[in-house]
Amino acid sequence: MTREEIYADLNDVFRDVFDDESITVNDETTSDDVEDWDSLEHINLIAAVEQQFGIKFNMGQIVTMKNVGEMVNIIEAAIK
Amino acid sequence: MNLTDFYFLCAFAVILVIYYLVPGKCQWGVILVSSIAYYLLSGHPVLILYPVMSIVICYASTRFITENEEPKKKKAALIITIILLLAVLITLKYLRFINVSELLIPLGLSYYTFTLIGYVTDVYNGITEPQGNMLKLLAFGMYFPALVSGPIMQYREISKTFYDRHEFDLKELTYGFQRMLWGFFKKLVIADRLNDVVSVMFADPNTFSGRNVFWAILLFTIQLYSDFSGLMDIVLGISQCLGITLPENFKLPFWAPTVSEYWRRWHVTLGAWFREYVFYPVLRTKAFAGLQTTLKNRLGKKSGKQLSTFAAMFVLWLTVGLWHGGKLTYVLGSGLLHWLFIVLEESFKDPFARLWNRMKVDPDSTWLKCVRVVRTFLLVNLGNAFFRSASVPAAFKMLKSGFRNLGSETIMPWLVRNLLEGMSERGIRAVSDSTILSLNYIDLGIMTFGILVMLVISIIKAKTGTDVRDRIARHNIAFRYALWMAFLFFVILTANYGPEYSSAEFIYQGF
Repeated sequence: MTREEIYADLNDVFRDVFDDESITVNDETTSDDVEDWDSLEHINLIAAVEQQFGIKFNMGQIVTMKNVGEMVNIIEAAIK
Repeated sequence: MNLTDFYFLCAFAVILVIYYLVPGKCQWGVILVSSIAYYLLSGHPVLILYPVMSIVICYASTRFITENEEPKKKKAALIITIILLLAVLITLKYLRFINVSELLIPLGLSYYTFTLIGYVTDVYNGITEPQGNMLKLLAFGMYFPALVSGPIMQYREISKTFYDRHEFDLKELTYGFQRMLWGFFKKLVIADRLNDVVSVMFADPNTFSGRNVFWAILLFTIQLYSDFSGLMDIVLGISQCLGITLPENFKLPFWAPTVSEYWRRWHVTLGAWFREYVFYPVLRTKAFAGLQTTLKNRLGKKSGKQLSTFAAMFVLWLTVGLWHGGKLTYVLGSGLLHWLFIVLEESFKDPFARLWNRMKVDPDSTWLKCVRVVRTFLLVNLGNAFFRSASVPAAFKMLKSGFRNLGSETIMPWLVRNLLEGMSERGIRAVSDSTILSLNYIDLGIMTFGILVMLVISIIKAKTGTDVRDRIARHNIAFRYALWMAFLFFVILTANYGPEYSSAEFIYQGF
């Protein structure tokens, strides 16, 4: 799966979790850029991403990822 | 020993001189020795064994976790360490039937326990390297300014600079002293005077019924803020003098538009700790995932998600309440009532959005924002009524007497009448002679002035988002020295030192 393909799937996950069809994420996107992305929704988002890509984040990754780029790096490494 | 004690300040001056005279790689050693001395002088010396033993256990378990390859063994080491740390905390703090005297509870127990649990968990999760030098870990775990009442430190953040060489920096030192002074002002000039007033009013809700009940609650909220945030200013100021940056614990909490936002601004490090080490793990359990799926299937995606989140938040707020102490007043006042407020906020979010839309009201209008800030502040006050009361029935009784006698006279005309009567007998001396609410009129005046100054500074910070120290530093040297010196003498002259010049204990020191 290429990074672009990961992003295509990831956009669907974000749109579904945050109920907003206009969301398009990139490497620099952070929780400040998406309305409703608070600490609560963060865990819901993580669960949805895990389900979509069939991977499992560990707690260390969940609390330290600073932007969507870092999330995609983890996904990339996990599905290789 | 308290951070506001005169002898502590003398000792701190000596520590600072030694700290900047020794080679940079030994500076953490000065911190370690100072922390041990501070602990030994602050209570029963033998109690130092508690934090030392806890830190030794964490040192050993993190070594085991990193040196062992088997995930099961790593997890077992983490769980055993957390159980051991919590067992001490729960036994000493909550199981009152063991009848542990308050004096035999080690200083800063719940703060260092949380700091250490965070450290071991982070090592287990692989997001921080374990500290290989036990003495260095002791210096971090017992770091004297933050030991007694936080902020709760994260090793993975603090350790980035904690052990480095800290060059002498006059600006940092000056800013550190200025922040300490601001903390002394909040604590000694405002909070300790409010403490006298609030104690009198809460102790006698029969005399102070009607609107006075709400005055008492409001004044307690201001007391709690000036006491705890003042202490944090002192702790962060001391650290800044040492070149160490600690996380902020207060970010203008009373300007929060919602209760959930309030908790991102009040006791920030406690909220962050609970989010990371309680809330997230609960949300990641299989039981919670099962509950969420069941509720989503039954109630639909949105409601199912919301209800399951409320259930997880219940656990979070219950533990936050319990952290403050085993009393029901704490569990409600700083826990479950706030959970209820947040649940209501979330539940009414959409109906209100629809209402504003129908009424063609801009949901981001200034007046609506003001209403939200005031509403949040009032809800926080309601929580504090329970938090401060001797018992839950006492809190209900007090609130009931407040509403029942709402039309009765407030304390204000009473204060004025008392002063006038006093003055007719004793002239101007009545101002210092008449004692009302355990304070004389000069004290009441200083207290009111102090609160106004705190409010004005808070408005400036909220409006401009700048550090007031930076704004003062822009002026010429004569002006800023005159200003800081005037403030220093004001604090020295008006501080409420209490009997034998020992200030009242910090409220959050007890947690």
